[in-house]
Amino acid sequence: MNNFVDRIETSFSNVTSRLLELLRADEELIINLKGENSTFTRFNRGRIRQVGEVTDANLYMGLKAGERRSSVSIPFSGDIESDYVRAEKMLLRLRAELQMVPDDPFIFTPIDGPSSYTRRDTSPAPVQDVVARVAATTELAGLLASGPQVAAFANSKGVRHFFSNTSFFFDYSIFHPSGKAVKATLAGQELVEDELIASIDSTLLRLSTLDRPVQRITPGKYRVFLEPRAVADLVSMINWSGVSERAMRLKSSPLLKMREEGWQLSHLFNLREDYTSRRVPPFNELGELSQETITLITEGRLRETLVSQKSSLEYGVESNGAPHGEFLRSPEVLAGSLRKEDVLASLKDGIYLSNIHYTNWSDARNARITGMTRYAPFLVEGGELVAPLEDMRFDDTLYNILGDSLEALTAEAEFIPSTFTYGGRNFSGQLVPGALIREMAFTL
Amino acid sequence: MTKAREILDLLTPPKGADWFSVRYEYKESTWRGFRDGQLQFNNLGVAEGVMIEVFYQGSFGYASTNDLRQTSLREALVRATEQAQLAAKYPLVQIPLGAVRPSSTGAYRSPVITPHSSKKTDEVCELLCSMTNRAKISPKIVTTEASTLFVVTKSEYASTGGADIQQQFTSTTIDLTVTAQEGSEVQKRSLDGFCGLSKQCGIELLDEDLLLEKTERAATEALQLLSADECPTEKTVLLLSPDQMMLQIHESIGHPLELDRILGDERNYAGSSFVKMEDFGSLQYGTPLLNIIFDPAEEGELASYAFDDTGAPATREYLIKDGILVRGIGGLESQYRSGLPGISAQRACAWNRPAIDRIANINMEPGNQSLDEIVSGIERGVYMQTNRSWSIDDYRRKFQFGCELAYLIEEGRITKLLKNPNYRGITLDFWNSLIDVGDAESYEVYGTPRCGKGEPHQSIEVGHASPVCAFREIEVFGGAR
Repeated sequence: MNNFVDRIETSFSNVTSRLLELLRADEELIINLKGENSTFTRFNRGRIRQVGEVTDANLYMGLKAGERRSSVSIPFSGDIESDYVRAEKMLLRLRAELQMVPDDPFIFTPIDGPSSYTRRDTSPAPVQDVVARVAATTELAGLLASGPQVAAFANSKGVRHFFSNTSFFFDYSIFHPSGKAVKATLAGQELVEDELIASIDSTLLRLSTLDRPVQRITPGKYRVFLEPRAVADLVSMINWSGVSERAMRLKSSPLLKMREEGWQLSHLFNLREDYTSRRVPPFNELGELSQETITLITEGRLRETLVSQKSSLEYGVESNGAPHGEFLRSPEVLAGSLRKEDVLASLKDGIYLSNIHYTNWSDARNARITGMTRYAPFLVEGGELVAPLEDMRFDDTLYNILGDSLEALTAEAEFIPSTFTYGGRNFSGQLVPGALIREMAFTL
Repeated sequence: MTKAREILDLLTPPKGADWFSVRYEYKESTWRGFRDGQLQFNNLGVAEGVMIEVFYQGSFGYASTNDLRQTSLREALVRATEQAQLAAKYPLVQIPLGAVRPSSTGAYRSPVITPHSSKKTDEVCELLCSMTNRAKISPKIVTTEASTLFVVTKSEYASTGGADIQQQFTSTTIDLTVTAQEGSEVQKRSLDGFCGLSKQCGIELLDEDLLLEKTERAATEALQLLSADECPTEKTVLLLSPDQMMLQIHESIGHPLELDRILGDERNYAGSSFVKMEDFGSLQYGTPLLNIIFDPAEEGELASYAFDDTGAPATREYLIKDGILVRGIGGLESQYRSGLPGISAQRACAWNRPAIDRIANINMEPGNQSLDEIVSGIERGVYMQTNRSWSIDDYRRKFQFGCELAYLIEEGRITKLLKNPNYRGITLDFWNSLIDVGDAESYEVYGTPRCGKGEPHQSIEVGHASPVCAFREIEVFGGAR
């Protein structure tokens, strides 16, 4: 067990109990906590560029009285008395705020339901030196993040959740003298040196394919294979309000035509939320436990959207425990039947993409995406890797890429962990296969 | 005495460490949002913490914590020392302390006329409610969202070398999006793009009459866009408004000039740059009309400051002069590593992140032609306004942008409204096709609190000011068919 998590759990339990005792008869409270004790080791040219440790946790309190609500986030240090003093002061401030806000007709309701408890944290292991030693012989840039993370919940109805996990990710690229690179990510609960060395060796082997001269292709439509990491980037675009019930209602979902006009993606494409892996906290910010699986797109048809409690109240539809933002937390694209060893032969003549970069909507109402190739796009001829390619811009719709032009998905899905660290490390990740695309438009 | 100095004084320098610093931050924010007359959120935020940085045998290490008890701070100093020792074992480069951590003293405060506290929660709610209701000028307006973000950040920095800096940043952001729909056509219009209306100021930005007038205009334009023609697909003269120039400057000048990017630090995430070290002083980045300045003192611009987070004093500098690249966006560490001139630019987004090279206030100097003069000189062109989409490659060359609306220019006159305008290009070709730069009349100051970079990730505020600008022979196109 980890000292940081112990401290946070003890203080959270103590502070929330005392806070809930302060509530007035007409008040209800939800409390969330998120924290981490992470080391971040940043590499360039195989050496350490910046290195340090972050100890951070934040408490989020949402107070409700009648039809009014307000919320606050404050630092949470694990020192019981200073945490309590700060939280108590904020409770008073929230009360004052409630006097000045209008009623919310779709106000949240603290749930009365099951609680959960998962502790998978461990004492810190000396991963930094191991990785630094192995990386030092390579032309590598990347980030090693490691340490425990914690999420917790309590409400005035007695629901309690706690989730902690110690994990790491090592997200890196090794560079060829040409400037091209191969990217890889190693992640898990425990870093094993042999696995790290195997990952680096595999990346170096792929790097050797970049020894060939870089070629350029002209704009046009090409047959394409997208590795799982590139497919994950397309799923991230779908996650940009794509399957949110609220976004559908407010006409801002890029997949709106699937709801309003019956447009479809390929019958090969199936997307769901899957919490059975237990990688992410199963509860949302209202303490609701999500369904184990939520099937969103079945054989290309929009079947369900992510519905939060607020959307349920506002639009009269049943909630499926989605978070307030109605974003995917543990998405899975179901695998297909194309075996990994048959990919190049099936691609035959086209472009092999390991990654895509900086995607954005060029026409959201038609789910049209623009983005760039990155790292090591390859020209394939006769089922053989021929040459690395100069980076190209693509501009095409999801209704084509994952729709009319989706020829096959690989039989092997890969877990792509989230390396998102804005505001703090993330628990989530995606399980996705690779995709063979009949034609995709490249423009520049 | 600042809190940073107080903390520094109670800590004993660790054995073997040559120097350490304390950066303390306290931030209060309030974020309120309305949709169609209903409150969506009223969130208060408090963040407080400390970063301790230690220098050991040519390398830095840090430890940051929000536990401000003495015991915890002492532990953080020990951990920062351990991190610095690890860095010294596998250093990318060994840096002389004196070159990168000056012993500056001083202060800065944002120009605030009326503090946030003078506008009560209910007054802000009433304004936001009014704005969303004002937009409902037709049943085709399906939804309107409006929000405000008020932030006050106290940032203090002290070091055993004698640095002692105190800065307080106050910012206000107001955001509005109006969505209109007719059949399968959906169009949105905002106030100057996502968080584009962000300034260092108090509530003086919340001019109710002006905001309601802008809301009504946004709603009117959203409706007009429903029946507008698609932007044509052609190579033509492109005129950009300041609220699109903001993103153009940001993505294709700001980021490529970051020295840490040129040095390869960002290659695994945000990318590299097509700019090479030998380009400084000689590369023709754009036509002689292109003059780009780093201006840390532009009144009210979002990323104004007196010192960066290493203590380097901020002074106004040209980055591009008469089209020639002269200086990079790099703080003292990058300047030492590259041997190139830079600016005071090494900043952290919060107490729990280390300082790295960041875009700050990067502005285009105005020219001497009015908007009317520029338009009257265009035989055929497209005038695009307000960014809604942005994408660029990891070397900052091939970009594509989308805007909320555009107008066709024919024979020197603005003729008709166009929807779904996009354009693409290659950075150096683009800036070398700059043909007109507007005068001070069209110069506007924008900013966004959401520029992302770094590993671990950091989102920070940046500012961009520009007049209208025209470019020749740019590939423009409309929406999907």
